Amino acid sequence: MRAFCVPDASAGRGSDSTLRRQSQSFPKWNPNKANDFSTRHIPKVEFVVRSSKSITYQTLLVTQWRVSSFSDFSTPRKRNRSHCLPAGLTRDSSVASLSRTLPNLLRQPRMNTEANRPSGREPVIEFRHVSYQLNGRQELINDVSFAVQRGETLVLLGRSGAGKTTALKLINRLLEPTEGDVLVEGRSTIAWDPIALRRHIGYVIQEIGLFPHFTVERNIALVPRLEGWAEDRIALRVKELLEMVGLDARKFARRYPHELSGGQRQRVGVARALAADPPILLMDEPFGALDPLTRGEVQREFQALERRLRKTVVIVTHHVGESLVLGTRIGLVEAGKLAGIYSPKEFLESTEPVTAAYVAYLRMHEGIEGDE
Amino acid sequence: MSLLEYFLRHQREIFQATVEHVWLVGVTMVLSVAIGVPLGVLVTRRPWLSKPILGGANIAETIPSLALFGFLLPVPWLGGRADRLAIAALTLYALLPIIRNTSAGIAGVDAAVREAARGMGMTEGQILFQVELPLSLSTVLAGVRVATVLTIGIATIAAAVGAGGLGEFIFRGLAMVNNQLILAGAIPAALLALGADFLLSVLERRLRPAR
Repeated sequence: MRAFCVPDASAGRGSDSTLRRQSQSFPKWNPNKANDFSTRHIPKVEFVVRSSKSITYQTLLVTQWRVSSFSDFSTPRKRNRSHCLPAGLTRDSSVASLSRTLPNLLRQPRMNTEANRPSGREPVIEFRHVSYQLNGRQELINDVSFAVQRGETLVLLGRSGAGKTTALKLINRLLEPTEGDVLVEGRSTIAWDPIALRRHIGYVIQEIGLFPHFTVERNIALVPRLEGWAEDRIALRVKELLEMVGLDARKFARRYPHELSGGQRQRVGVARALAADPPILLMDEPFGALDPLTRGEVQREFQALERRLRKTVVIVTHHVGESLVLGTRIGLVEAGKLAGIYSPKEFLESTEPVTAAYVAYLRMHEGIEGDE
Repeated sequence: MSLLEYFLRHQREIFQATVEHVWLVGVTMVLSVAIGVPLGVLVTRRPWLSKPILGGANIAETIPSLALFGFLLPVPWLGGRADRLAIAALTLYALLPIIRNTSAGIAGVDAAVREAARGMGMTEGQILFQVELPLSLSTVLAGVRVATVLTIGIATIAAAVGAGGLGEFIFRGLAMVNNQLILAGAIPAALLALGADFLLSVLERRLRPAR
């Protein structure tokens, strides 16, 4: 299966050794020009217009579901998705199926031509030349600038220790930038009251961090209770949220986190983050601890949810497939710097050594196992 | 005269001494929890205070108990009454396990849970009272258990300064070289310690957060 999805797109990319050589020659940001605003390196930021974005997004899904129908991949894609979903495919890992359909994806006509046109709206989250140093010495984030528009899902992709999580924590002020400004809804996080800011932003972390001494119900109701909602409103909201993430409220509300499976806990974690309906959602390796099959399921559900709720989402992951499935844009983080921001399609098509390395990796590994 | 007969004949005195003993220990535990738990929390909040606080408690622990009672004798308000003096000294002994277990319990709360709590916009106070303390309750209680057993033992020495309790029998028995008298103090004290240990360990297990 893998054999014929690999060659045509990776042709010309060369072997591993060429890749390494290329990435060494990748032009680096010039620190001497740091204060020169006219030439200052600002990572490429394109503003995605919502409508055109959702088309590509859909395309990604459609092709993803059309895994085994290789025979007709050159025919124009069907609008009706239900046609495309082969029976019995629902449990397939989305990552695995995605990588199998990569060539398919690359053949799609360019839908994203408006992608680089800036929109006039104010970004929900904006990094302005943000640096963060640990203990005033170790540079974890180095002059990063980007903006996230309302309703977007930005994925920060990068190696472990590249600074993705640090960037995320700068948004809800678990960390404060050493230099530069992080703006949330146009206001610097320093100017926000940290408690108000954090209640305004849903937060999901890899280890989920459900309170072990709280039932599922109390875990989800946490922020609404802190915000002083009326009890009957909370009860309704918990029920609604549990159903939204696909858990039976009658069955799960009274359980404790240790009585749940990993996937169920993850769902509760997402429900808890959404409880007070925050307009922004931050997720740090949200599906990291799950097996590939469950991960695929939860990802797909989250995707559907996200399209319905239209939150502004920032996801941190080191998982290439996940970023392609979930992201409307992908920000590549390398050693504390933003190497670039791409739409999923641009990411796959990009010939830059770093992105190419990721794509090559995706083809080589995630296609087989659906996970690292 | 068998030991049992002796106990039966003096049951009223023994009972009274036991009540005194329990009272001494009880007041001591209330005081030391009231002081020790906040200090334990403080240690986790201001790490630079951990050395002086834990160090101080450690030093108190190393002073021989008989000597400690003697040291406290000249202290104005404390030296005035024997039970006050005894309770102050016993509290100093009971502090260390409570401070140490409180700070260890809070430090042992899953970092992810704390980060989630912070990330969701809980204030420091909310994190402490709704998350950290409930989750470290069983560890804190383990410290209280150790301290209680320790205090029940040391409280027998309080009789040396005239604070009463089961120690009375022991000191009198030692002076009169009367083993039955010594046992009349030692056996109830040992039973008290075992009983307290058992009850608190049951409570502790009940409060341990499920994993």
